[in-house]
Amino acid sequence: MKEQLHKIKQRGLEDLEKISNMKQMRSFEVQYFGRKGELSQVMRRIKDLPKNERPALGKLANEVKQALNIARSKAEKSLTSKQREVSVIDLTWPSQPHRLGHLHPLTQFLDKVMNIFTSMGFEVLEGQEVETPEYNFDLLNIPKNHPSRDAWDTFYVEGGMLMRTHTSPVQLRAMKKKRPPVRLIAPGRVFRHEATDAGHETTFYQCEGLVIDRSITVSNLISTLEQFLKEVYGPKVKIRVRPEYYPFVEPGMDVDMQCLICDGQGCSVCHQRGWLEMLGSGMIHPKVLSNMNIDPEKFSGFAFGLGIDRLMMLYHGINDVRLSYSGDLRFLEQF
Amino acid sequence: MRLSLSWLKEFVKYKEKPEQVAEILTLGGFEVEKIIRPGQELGGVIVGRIKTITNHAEAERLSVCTVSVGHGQPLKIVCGATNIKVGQKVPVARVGVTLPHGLKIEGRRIRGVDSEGMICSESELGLSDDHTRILILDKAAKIGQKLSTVLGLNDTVLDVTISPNRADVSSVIGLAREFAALAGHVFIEKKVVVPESKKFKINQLLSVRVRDYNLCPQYTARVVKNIKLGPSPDWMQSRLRASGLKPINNIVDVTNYVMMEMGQPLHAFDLDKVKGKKIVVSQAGSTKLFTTLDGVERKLSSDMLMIYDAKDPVAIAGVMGGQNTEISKNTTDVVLESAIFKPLSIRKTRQRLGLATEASNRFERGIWWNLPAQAVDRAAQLLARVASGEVASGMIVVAQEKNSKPKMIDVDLNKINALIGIKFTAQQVISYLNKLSFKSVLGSEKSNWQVEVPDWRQDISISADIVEEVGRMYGWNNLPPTPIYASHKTSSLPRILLGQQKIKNLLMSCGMTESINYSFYGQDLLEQFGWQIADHYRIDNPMNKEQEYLRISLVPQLYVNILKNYQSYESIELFETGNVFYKKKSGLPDERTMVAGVIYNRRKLTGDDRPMRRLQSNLAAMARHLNIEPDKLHYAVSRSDSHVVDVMIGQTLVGWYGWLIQNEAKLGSSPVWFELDIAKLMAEAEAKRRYKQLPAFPAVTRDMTFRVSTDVDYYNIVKAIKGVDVLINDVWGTGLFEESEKKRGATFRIVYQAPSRTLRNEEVNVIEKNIIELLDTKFNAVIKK
Ligand SMILES: [Zn+2]
Repeated sequence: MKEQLHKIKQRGLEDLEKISNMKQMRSFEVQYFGRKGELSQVMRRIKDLPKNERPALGKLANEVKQALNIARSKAEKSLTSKQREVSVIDLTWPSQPHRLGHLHPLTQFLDKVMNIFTSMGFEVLEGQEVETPEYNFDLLNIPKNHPSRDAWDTFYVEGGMLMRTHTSPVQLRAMKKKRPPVRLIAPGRVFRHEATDAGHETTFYQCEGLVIDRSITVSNLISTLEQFLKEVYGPKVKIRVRPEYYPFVEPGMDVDMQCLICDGQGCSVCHQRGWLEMLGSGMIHPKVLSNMNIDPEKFSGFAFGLGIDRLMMLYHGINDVRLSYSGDLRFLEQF
Repeated sequence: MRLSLSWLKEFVKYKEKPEQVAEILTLGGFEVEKIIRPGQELGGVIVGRIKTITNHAEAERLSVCTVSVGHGQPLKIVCGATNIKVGQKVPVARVGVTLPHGLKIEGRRIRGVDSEGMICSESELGLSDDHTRILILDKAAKIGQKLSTVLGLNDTVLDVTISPNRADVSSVIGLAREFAALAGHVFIEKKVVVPESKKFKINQLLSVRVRDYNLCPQYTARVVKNIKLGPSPDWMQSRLRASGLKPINNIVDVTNYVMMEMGQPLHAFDLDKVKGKKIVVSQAGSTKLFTTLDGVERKLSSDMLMIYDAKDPVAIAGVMGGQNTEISKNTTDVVLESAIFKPLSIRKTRQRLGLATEASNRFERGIWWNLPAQAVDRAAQLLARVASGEVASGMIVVAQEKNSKPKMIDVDLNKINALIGIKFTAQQVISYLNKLSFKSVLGSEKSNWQVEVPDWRQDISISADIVEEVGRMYGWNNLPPTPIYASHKTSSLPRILLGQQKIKNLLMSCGMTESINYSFYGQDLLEQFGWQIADHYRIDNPMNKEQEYLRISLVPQLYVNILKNYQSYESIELFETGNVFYKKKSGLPDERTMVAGVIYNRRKLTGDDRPMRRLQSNLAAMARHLNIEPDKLHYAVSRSDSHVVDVMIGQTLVGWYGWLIQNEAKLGSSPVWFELDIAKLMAEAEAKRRYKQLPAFPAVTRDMTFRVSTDVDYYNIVKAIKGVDVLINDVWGTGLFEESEKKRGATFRIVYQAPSRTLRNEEVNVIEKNIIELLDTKFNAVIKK
């Protein structure tokens, strides 16, 4: 019986080599593996053998069956690939891709910013783009006819309204209903009345932030903004903080990031300064806290403002802010 | 403000390099934009002497000069200026030299004459805007010497940004005080001694009257007589040049010099021209016109603050002096005005006149009480020194109050520490403040005391201001960053924003590209869409005609986007999400966040390839993605406009789609557009789906085709079929084809299902019969076999 099994195996392998179409393959399967096939017949007879011979022969029978089966499936694969006439050029030729559109780089970057801040526990708020001077200026400690207002060139809308110059009004309005502790960001479109060039737009996006709680410190501000910049531009980011005047914060400061292109050596992107101005920030002015009905004696907080366009342009290496609003498909399709 | 470092050195002895000075100032709150080395830029320009001038043979306006420049042959140079004479010393740029604006001098043939260089004007040298006249140099200048040495431009200048709250640092002394404090150096205080002449008493020469102390809280004046008018000395001229001011004559230069040094704008009137020897400070009232120094006649308004003599106006207070009392060749005696004008009034005046000057900038930031007297003394001292003037004894000070009390501020060490985030000792804080000239007045408590604010620090008014002073002296960058340890609440994105994100991602997957356009458009565009200006908010001060109105739809600009791209793209699919502004009777506009899109294909496509069908597929996908019941989305033909179709969710109108028929000839086909109100969509979106039990018995699916008339509404047919029997589980249209001009063939797929048994064919046949009957009676639709 042992001999018989070896013979079946040898013959089976020989038969396989001769097979040239699927029909022959199917009859091969019946001949060897079928219920009445040769292997089945031998295997059935094993149980009639003396008990001590059964395991060795059983094992051999299984090995033969396995060997034939593997050989069979290999033969079948080569048979089918011959039939499909598969060629290298056919396998490597790409299909037409799905017609996907493109999200605006500002949208993509803003989503990134929102994700980072929400992961830090910030709530996202939105508001109106047309505002009153009260919410855009007065309540932010930017009095009428004060030179500090000159920093915000403004579009005025009929009826004594204006196009918001920052998203701070969103926060002011939100704080009418909220009590500390709060962590907010307000992303959105803002407007400045200034001549456009590669670095200036009348329309751009901003994301302002606000944190109010007991004992919020300048250290907290620096830490939060450093974390944010590292999250966007990578762990190598180096920042520096310098005093800057904004009427709604005291102390006020700007955060610079060391130029990533020249590592602080000075290049055209950073105007040879080695540093890039990234955002404005500061501890919320006690008057502004009071305007939000928050007791500056009990609570403190910081605020910051990110110019999304500038940060996005730096991220992608875009050198003209106007491209974002051009509707030019050659630009939009790059993202 | 341009800070000359050689000037700075007069007040602070320091060893730092210019880059280091710049960094110390920047990190201390005075951002240095640029380090300028004017000498370097003029490196190649040298002094030449004009030997001969002959007329150019072929050009009337040109002359040909020979100029000696020390060594080698004299140069032959063609020149167009009219103010040159033989023997003058002039700046010469030879061939190969690059001038500050980037102009490279090349050997050129000008109308047949070879020119071997250029004789330069001030504008060509980057010194001023004067481009008509050649800069004539002092006789003492040496031929062949570098121009930068002659003009004393071997200085380094820092371009410093001054924030609007710091009047005191618009001056060399102000920045010097800050730099000394920040760098740990000593600020050198200069005592001003005025050499008064006993011959003249000011009270006999001049009287001053202030009509409105609210607008002019203080007016201080001195008189200097017997001045020898002439150019100011080189050191003064070069400092003024380094500061960006043009030297004029010694009187004007002294007033500018003191303004740069101390921050006080001064004005010099020619005393002889001041009628009645009287100065009156008063609002313009009925005075309508006034000619300023620059020769321009200005229209005044009655509330502008003016300076008058006994008869006429002589200056617009704090903005610009008048031609009638200008310093001229014959001037010998001057009145020096050193005053405080109210910032608000100056600001309004200069805004209305469109005339911002170095003086008005400083008055707008605010002059502190003791400055006018100090500055007028300094100017008198300098006029005596550089113009041989004799200073009349005494000073006129006209003010409502004689003194201003020093400002006191409470300091609480614990609050400073709590706001900054590290623990300072009282000593540290006192020492920082002391370096900035704040005097600490200590009481019995260790962590609470008062500080006296130096009078020039008008920006300091609350204790948070003290925190800033301590922080920047310590250095914000020395502060260890500390994460926030505090409770926080969880929150999710606002619903509209969430919807916007989902919609954007979905439309992107559907092949549409996002565009972002301005919130404004112009009359031309809105009228192309047949809209009324009256329905729009107008911008009072638009950038241009194309940005005059707030958009009430996102579609017009998407249409403009197509026009921008259609020549290079056969197919364009764009969308935008953003706010539109619906007009309300009062209050803020009704702002709605919309999503709009346009689909265009240059070729006229048919059937399901039509842009309209693609658009509908996208809308359906959007509804699915927002968890809106698929059945609820439907379209209704708007009665008023045949080019617009209502997009409905159930009974709610959420938006429209339609065709853009403008410019069809140019575009080849009409783009389709849609616009939906995101808030309305989100109101119909379900936050979650409810699970329905999986059917235990198989459904029966059958198609039925009817011949229907073209004016039947699809949604009504589907509704009717559904109403026929409870066993009808789902109905939708699968095909529409043309039968005749007025008839369409419409195939519906109908799914029948019973919850508790397998349906028999006979049952379904009965329902089908009922459907046929109903559609016949209701829509005149005929079944097709
Ligand atoms: Zn760089």
